[in-house]
Amino acid sequence: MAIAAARGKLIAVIGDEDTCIGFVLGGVGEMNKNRKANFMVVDKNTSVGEIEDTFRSFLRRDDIGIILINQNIAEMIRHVIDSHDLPIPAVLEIPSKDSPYDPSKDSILRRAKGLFSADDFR
Amino acid sequence: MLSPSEQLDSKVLEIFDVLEQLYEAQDALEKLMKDGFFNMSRARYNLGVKRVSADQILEAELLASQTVVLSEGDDCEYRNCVEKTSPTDHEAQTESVQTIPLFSLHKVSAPVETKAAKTVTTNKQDFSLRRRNVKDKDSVENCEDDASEALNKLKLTEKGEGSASTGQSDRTSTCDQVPDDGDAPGKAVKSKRQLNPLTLFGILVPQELRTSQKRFEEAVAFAVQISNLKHKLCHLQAQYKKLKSSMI
Repeated sequence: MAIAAARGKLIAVIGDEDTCIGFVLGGVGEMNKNRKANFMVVDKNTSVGEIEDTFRSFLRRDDIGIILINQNIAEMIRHVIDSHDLPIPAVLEIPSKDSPYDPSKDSILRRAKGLFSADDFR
Repeated sequence: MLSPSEQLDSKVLEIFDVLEQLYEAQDALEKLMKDGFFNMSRARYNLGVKRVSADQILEAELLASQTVVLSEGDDCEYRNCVEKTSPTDHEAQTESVQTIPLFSLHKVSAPVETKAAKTVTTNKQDFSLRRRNVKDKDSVENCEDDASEALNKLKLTEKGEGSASTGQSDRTSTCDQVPDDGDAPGKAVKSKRQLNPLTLFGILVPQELRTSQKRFEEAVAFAVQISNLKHKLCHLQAQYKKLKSSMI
């Protein structure tokens, strides 16, 4: 237990092929004892249900600290991401190779935007 | 002591500061990832499409070299301030508070790949083969004599008693320079877990793939920084809402 705590928590990735290869190259990939990886490669044949299940399984795992997810994939499971309000694991939307990052779509930044109404500045 | 409206103003300024940092970090992350993707594509062009694909990483025995260590917000400014809203009552400010989790990147630098060559000496032939590069001939001869004596003893005990247990004890005492763990002779056990994922794509990988790896390593650091900034932003939002509700 102490060793696991000293080692720290993992960074999980849900993304397209290049994003997963990149972050695995970056040193975040790990296969645990149950042969469950901390990344998921999403391609055109992957269903939304599979992505949702994997995301929920990452949320349940206590060895994961941050979940990186491509923003275009996050759009597919937006309702699940919006319902997650715990600080750990932190969900981070990242750009993909095909689509750039759009801050207006980000869950947390949308919440920050909704913080101020026009009445506050009168 | 600041008035509530001044406190509210300072919170708004803090929120904008954090937002600015967040946008900058997001921009840097995007640039790094773009460069990483570009270098990966160049490496794919050199190696071939199938040599740099998800097939290399899906079934690999990987071990994370970059993890995040959770610290419960050393900065007292951000401590004990995040409200944990219950799913049933979103509007009410709950009294249960928890510390802001701040991540810090932890790199595993020590090599984890363990290479333990386990050898067992069972007879003289095996022993002489393994010790052929030893320069000190006297020590080899002495050791060989010991080994032959032990072998004779072994034969005698096997003839006399026919029990394997005594033979085993003699075998282990033939030479204490060679470790004996009771495994098959000359069996090399190597842990397969990869610490450097670059080896998954071959031994002589192109420079572009190394550059791509560097970019993504930096991207991981930025991702951790963005995650911390988002936590701070959520915390400031909660504080702002609390102040605003107290003013009303």
